[in-house]
Amino acid sequence: MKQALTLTVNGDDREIFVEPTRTLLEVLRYDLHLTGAKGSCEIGACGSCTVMIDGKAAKSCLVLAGQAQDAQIVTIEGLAKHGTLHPLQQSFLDNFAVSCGYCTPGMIMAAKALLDENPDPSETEVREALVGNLCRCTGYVTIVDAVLAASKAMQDSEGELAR
Amino acid sequence: MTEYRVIGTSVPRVDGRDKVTGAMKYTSDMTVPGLLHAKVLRSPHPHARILSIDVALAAQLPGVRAIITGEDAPEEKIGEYIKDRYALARDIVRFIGEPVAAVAADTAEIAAEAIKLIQVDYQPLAAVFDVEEAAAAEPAVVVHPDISSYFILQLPNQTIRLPDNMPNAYVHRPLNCGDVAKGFAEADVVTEHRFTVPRTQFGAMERRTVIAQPESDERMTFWATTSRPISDKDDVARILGLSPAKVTLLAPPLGGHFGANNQSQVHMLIAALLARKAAAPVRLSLTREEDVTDFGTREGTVVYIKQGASKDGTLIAREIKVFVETGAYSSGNLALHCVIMMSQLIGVYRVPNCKIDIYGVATNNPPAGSFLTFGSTQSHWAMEQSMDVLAEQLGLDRREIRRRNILEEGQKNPGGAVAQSVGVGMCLEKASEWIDWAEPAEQLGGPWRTGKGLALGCKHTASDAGPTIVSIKIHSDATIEVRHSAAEQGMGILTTLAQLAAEEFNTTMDKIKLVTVDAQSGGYCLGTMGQKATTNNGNALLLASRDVKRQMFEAAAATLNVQADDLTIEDGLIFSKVNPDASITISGLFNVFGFYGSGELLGRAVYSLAEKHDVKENLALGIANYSSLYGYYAAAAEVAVNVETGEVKILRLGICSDMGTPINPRMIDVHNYRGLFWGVGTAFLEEVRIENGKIVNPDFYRWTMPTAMDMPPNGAVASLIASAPYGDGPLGAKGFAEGTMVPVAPALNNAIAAAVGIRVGDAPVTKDKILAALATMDGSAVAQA
Repeated sequence: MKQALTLTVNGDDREIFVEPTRTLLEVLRYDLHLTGAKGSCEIGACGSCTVMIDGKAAKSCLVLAGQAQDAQIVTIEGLAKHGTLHPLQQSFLDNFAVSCGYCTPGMIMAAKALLDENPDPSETEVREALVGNLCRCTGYVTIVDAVLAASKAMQDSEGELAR
Repeated sequence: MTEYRVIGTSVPRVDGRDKVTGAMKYTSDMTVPGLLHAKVLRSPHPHARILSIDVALAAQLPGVRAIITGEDAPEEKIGEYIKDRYALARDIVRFIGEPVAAVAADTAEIAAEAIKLIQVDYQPLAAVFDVEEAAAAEPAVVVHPDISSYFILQLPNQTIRLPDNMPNAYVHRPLNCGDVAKGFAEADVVTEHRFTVPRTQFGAMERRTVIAQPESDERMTFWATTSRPISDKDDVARILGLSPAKVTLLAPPLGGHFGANNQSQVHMLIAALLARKAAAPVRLSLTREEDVTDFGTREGTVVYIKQGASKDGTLIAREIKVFVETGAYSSGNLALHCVIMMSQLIGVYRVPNCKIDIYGVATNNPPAGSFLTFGSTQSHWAMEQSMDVLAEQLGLDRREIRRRNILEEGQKNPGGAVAQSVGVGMCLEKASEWIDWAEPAEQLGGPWRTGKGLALGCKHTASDAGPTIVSIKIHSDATIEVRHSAAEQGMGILTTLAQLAAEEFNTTMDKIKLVTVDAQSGGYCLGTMGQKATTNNGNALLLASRDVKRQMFEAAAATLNVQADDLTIEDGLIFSKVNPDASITISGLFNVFGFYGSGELLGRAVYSLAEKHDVKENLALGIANYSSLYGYYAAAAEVAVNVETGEVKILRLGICSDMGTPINPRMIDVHNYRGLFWGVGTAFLEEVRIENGKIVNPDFYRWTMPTAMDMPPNGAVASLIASAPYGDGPLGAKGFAEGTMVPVAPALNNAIAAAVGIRVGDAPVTKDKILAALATMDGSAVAQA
C-alpha cells in the first residue's frame, strides 16, 4: 500500500507517496530525481549508492524509504553550496580521483562521513572507511590521496577561521 | 623535445566537475515520458530444445503492454564477425541465462511478475562445459552444428578460418615463422608449461541499460550504455530491417567499460522489439546477474607454452597453443578476440622460430565478451612466467634474460612486422631500477619468505580499426568545438581530445568545447575500444583542425594582404609570423566570411591508419593483424609469502608504461594504478566460477574485485612513465591505457616463485593453491629461498 512519507533530503522536506518498502535509493533516484546516488550491485556490496543518514554513511539500496522518515538525509547533490564545491569534491577533482565517475558520489559521501567523525585520519583509516566502496578505475590510489588532502585542507581552513 | 603549451601538463579532467557533484547523467539516469519497463525470461538450461512457450497468462496481467518470444525475433542474427545468435532464442537455447521471452509493462515489478507467468517447455540436451573437451575432434556435444552455414565477415587482414577437425571451434588463428622443430633441436634448454586464466567479471559499476523509443515513420531512438554507438546503430538497424538513417543512438558517458559495452546489441534489440510492439518507449536495465551472465565475463583461457633458448639466454624457438573458452555465442567479439590476441602473443621479444595457434571454442557456458586487454593478460601471464623459468634453468638473472631478447625499434617482430615506437626496454629499466632489482628482497623473518619479480607486456593499439571522422566548429568568440563520437568510458578521452585541440589552436582549455555527437550527426568511428581513441580520434581531430585553420588562414591572408603560409593562431588571434601587426580576431574573420555576429566555421577530416605505408606492407605480406603499434609496459613486484598460511603480502608494486608522448601525466598515473589494481585482482582474487553452465558467484558478495584494503599503501606503489614517441600518432602519442594490467599479475607470481620456489600456473593464486604447491615440495627449495 502506498503511503505518504516525508523525507528530509539535503535540508528540504520532501513529500512523496510511495510503497514504504521501496528502497531509499529508488525513491531518491526515481521519485525525487536525485540521480547522484547510483545503483550498481544493489545488495550493499559496492557503495555506489552511499548517502549520509543522520551523519553516518549508509548504503541507500539497503534502506527502506519508510525507515528513512524523520532522518536527515544528505546526498551528493547537497554538498556543493552556491556553486562552490565541498573541499572533498574539489580534492577529488584536483587529485584525479575521478575516472568514469560512477562510484564517485558514493565514495565522496563515505569519505565525508569519515572526515566528519575523524577529521585527521591516517591512510589506513581512510582505506578502512572506504572498504565498502568499490572502484574499478583508479586502484584507489588517487582516491586515498584526495581524502587525505581534503582532510588537510579542511583542517587548515578551520585553523584560518579560528585565527 | 618539442615544447608544448597544454600537452604534457596535468590539466583537470574536463568532465570532472559534473562527476564530483553528481550532475553527470549516465544512461541509467535517463528517463523519457511514458516509459515502460522490460524484464527478460531466461533459459534455466545450458542446452535445450524449446518445445513450446505459452504467454497467455502473462498477457492477462494488468499493466503488461507487450510480450515477445523467439518468434518475434528477426531472421537476421547478431554477431560481430560470426553471426550466430537471434535476439531471443528460437528453438534451441545454448546457455543458462539465454533470453527466451521478454515483457514490457507499466512498472518493472509488473514486468517481473509477468515473466513468472510465462510457461516454457524444454527438452534438455547434453551440454559441454570444458574447453578442451569441447575442442576435441569428435566432441560429445556440438554447440553449433550448422556453424558452416553462418554468415562470417571476412576482412582482408582478418581471415576467420573454421578448422576442419574441431567442430566446436569458431576460429583458428595460426602464425608461423622460421622452423620451430629445428629451433628446439638447437636449443640448450627447453621448457614446457600450461597456464590458465579464468573468467572474471568486467565489473563496470554501471550495469548495461538501454532505452528504446519508437518514433513516427518506423524511426527508433536509443539511449544506451555502449562504447560503439555508430556500429551499434548500423547493426541494430540491419537486424530490425531498417535503414541506418532511421536509427538514432545516443551514448551518454559510461560508468566503466573494460570491454563490457562492446556488446550491447542483444539488450538493444529486445528493448526495440518490445517498444515497437507496445508503441511506447521501453527501458531494459540488466540486473547485476544478467549483466554478468550475458557477455559479462572475460574468456576462460588455457595456454600451452614451450620455449627453447641457448645457454646465454637467447630465445630460439617458441610454440604456443591457446584455447579460448568463449561460451555459447561468438557475438562478444570472439573471432576478433582471437585475431587480436595474436597481436598480443607476438609479444615483446625477438623470436626467430615461432609457432602460435589460437583456437576460439564454443561451450554451453554463458557467452564471454571482448574483455580488457583482448587476451594480452592471458598471453603474458604465460609468456612472462615462462621467461622466468627459462632464466632459472639457465642460471641467468631474470632482468638480464629479458634485456637480451627484447625487441628494439626497427627490428622485425615474430609476426614479421617492423617494430615501431618500442619503449619496452625503457620500461624494463625504469621499473627494475625502482624495485632496486640488484638488491636482494628484504627479509621479514618468521614464516615469511620474500622475493622480487619482473614482467614485461605489450597491448596492441588497434589504431587502424577503420576510418575515424572528426569535425571542428569554430564559434565567433573563438571557442573551438570538437565534434566526435568517442565514448567517454572513464579513461579521459574527452580531456585528451581537449588538450590536443587546445595545443593545435594554441589556446587555453576553457576555449575548448567537446560535443560527443549522436550516431546520426556525422563523426564516424567504429567504437571506442582497443585503446585506439587517442591515436585515431586524436589524429582526425588534428587533421580537422588543420582543415578549418587552412580556411581561416586563406580568408585572413586575403584580408590582411599577407601569405597564408605565414599566418599562425594564438588565443584566438590570427597573425602573421613575419609581421605580427597584420592580425585579425576570429570574430573579425567571421565578418570577412559574411556572418556578422553569428555563424560558424567548419573543418572536417577522415583519418585512416590503413593509408600508412607500414600497414599496407604488413597487409600485403599477410603477416600482421593490424599495425605493429603497441603500448608497452613493465611491472616490478616485491612480495612476502607466509609458508604456513599461504598468505601473500605485497611489499612494493610498480609499473612503467610507454604511451609515446605523455598528454596528461596525472591521468596516465591513474591508468597505471588501475593496472596494478586489476593485476592484483587477476593474480589473487578474481574468478567467475561456472558449475554445469551456471555462474555460481555473479554478485559482488560472492565475486569480488580488490577493495581499498586489498591494495598496498600508496607509499608502496609506483606509476612510472617511459616515452617512445610514435611518429604517426597525434603529437607523438599512442594508445596505452587498456594494457596497464598486462604485466602486473605475472610480475607478482614471478615474485612469489622467487620467494618460495613454487609456481602456481592457474590464476588466481589463492592461499590454498600456494599451500598445496608448497606441500608437494621437499622443503629444500623453500629453505633456499
